[in-house]
Amino acid sequence: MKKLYIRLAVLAVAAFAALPKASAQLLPDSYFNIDWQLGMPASNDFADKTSGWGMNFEGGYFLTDEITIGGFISYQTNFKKFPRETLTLGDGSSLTTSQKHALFHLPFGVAGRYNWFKDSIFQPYAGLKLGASYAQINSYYYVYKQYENTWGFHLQPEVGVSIFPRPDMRFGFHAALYYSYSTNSGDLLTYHLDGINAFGFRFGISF
Amino acid sequence: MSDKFVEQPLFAIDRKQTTAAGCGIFFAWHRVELIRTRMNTKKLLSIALLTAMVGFGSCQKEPSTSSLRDEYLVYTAYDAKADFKALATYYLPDSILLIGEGAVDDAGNKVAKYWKDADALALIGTVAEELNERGYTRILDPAERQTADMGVQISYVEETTLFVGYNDPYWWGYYPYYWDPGYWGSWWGGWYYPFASYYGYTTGSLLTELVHLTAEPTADRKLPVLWNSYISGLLQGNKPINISEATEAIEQAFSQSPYLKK
Repeated sequence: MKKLYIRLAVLAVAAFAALPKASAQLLPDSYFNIDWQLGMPASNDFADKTSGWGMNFEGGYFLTDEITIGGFISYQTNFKKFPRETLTLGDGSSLTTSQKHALFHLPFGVAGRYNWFKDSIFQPYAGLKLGASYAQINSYYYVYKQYENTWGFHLQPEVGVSIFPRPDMRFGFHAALYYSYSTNSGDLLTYHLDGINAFGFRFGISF
Repeated sequence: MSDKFVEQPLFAIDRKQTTAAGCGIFFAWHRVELIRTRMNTKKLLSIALLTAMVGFGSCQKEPSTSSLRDEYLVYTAYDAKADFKALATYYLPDSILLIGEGAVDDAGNKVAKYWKDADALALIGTVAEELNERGYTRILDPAERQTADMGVQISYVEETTLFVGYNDPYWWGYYPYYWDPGYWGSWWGGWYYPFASYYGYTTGSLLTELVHLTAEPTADRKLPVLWNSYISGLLQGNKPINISEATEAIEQAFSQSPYLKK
C-alpha cells in the first residue's frame, strides 16, 4: 500500500510537470475552488455534531491582483441523536420516541477576497461571503420524517490559502478556515432553531 | 424567517425516498467539460449554475434510520374539552380487532378477525389496570356495554398499511362488525374526532381509542372519540409482536396522558 501511495505521488508530480503553461485556468483572471468541508456547529442544540458531509464550490474574478469578487454555493449536513423521550406537542398530544435530527444547510451568494502574493506558490487570502441561506431541519423517528424549510441571511468570514506547486499553471490545492452565521430560524416538534452558527474547515482543489 | 412546509402531516406514512447517490455539481461539471469547446463562456456558466442549483437539493445526507425502526413509538392525543373527571365507567371487550386481510365466514362473507389468546388478554389487562388505577370502573357484562360512560376499542395492525384520515377512518368501511359505531349503540352513525388524528398505521401498530358513550348525540349521530393512543414499532424484523414492549408502551401511553383520570 505504501508503494502505491508513493507511485501515485510521483504520478501527480509528473502530471503537474507535464501540463502546458496556464492550461488549467478555465477563464483568464479567474479562480475556482471545489472543496470538501468539515462543519462544527456552535450554539446549536438541534444538530450539533461535527460532520464532514459538506462541500463548497466557489469561483471569482480578479478585479485587481489583490481583490476578487465572485460567487459561491455550499452545503453541509450535521446530525444529532436523541434517546427516547416524551415530547409534549402544542396541540395537547404527546409523542414518545427516539430521534435523529439532521440540519441541512445550503448558503449561496457573493464571495469577495483580498489576496496576497498572487504569483507565488502560497497565495493566502482573507474573504467574506454574503448571501441567502436555505436550511431544512429534520427529525427522523421510527419510519417517519418530519421537517421544516427555513430561509435566512448568510454571513461568512474566511481565511485561506491556495497552494500552486507551479504558480504559472494555477492548478493546485486550497485550504480554508471559516466562521458561518445564518439567521435561519424555525420550529419542529418541541425544538427551536434560532440562527445557525458554525466553524469549519475546507480542503480541496483550486484552479 | 421561516417558511413552514409540511409535505405530510404528522404520522402520515413517509415512504422514505432513497436519494440518488452523488450530487448535482458533479454532473454539472461533467456536462461543462463535455460541452465547453462548443459554447461560449457566459452560456456555459449559466448552465453550470442552473444545474448546480437544482442538483444541490439532492446533496442532503440522511441519517441511518435502521436503529430507529427497532424502537417503539407512542403517540397520544385527546379532546382538550373533554371532562374526564365526569366519567366513571368503561366497557373493554375481551379481544383485539386485527386490522389486515380479515377472515371469511362459512358463507364466504368477509368478516372481522379477532385476537383473543393469552397475549391479547395480557395487553387488554394492562389497559384495564391503567384505567382502574385512574379511578374508572370496568363494566364486565357485555349486555351492559352501551350503558358505560366510555367504550375502549383496541386494534392491532397485523399485516397491512392503511392511511386513516380523521372523520373518515378507512377500515371501518369493510370491518362491519366489531368497531362499527353501532357496536356501541344502534343510534351511533359514525365517528367524530374532536382533535387532529391523521395517522399512517404501519404493520405492528397497536391502536387504542376511548369513545364517549354518554355524549349527547348530535344530529349526525357521530360518536366522539375522547382519547387515542398509537403505538408502533412493536414488530422487529420477522418476529411476532413483542408483548413485553407492547405492555411497556401501553403503560407509557397512559403515563403521558395525566389528564386521563377521574
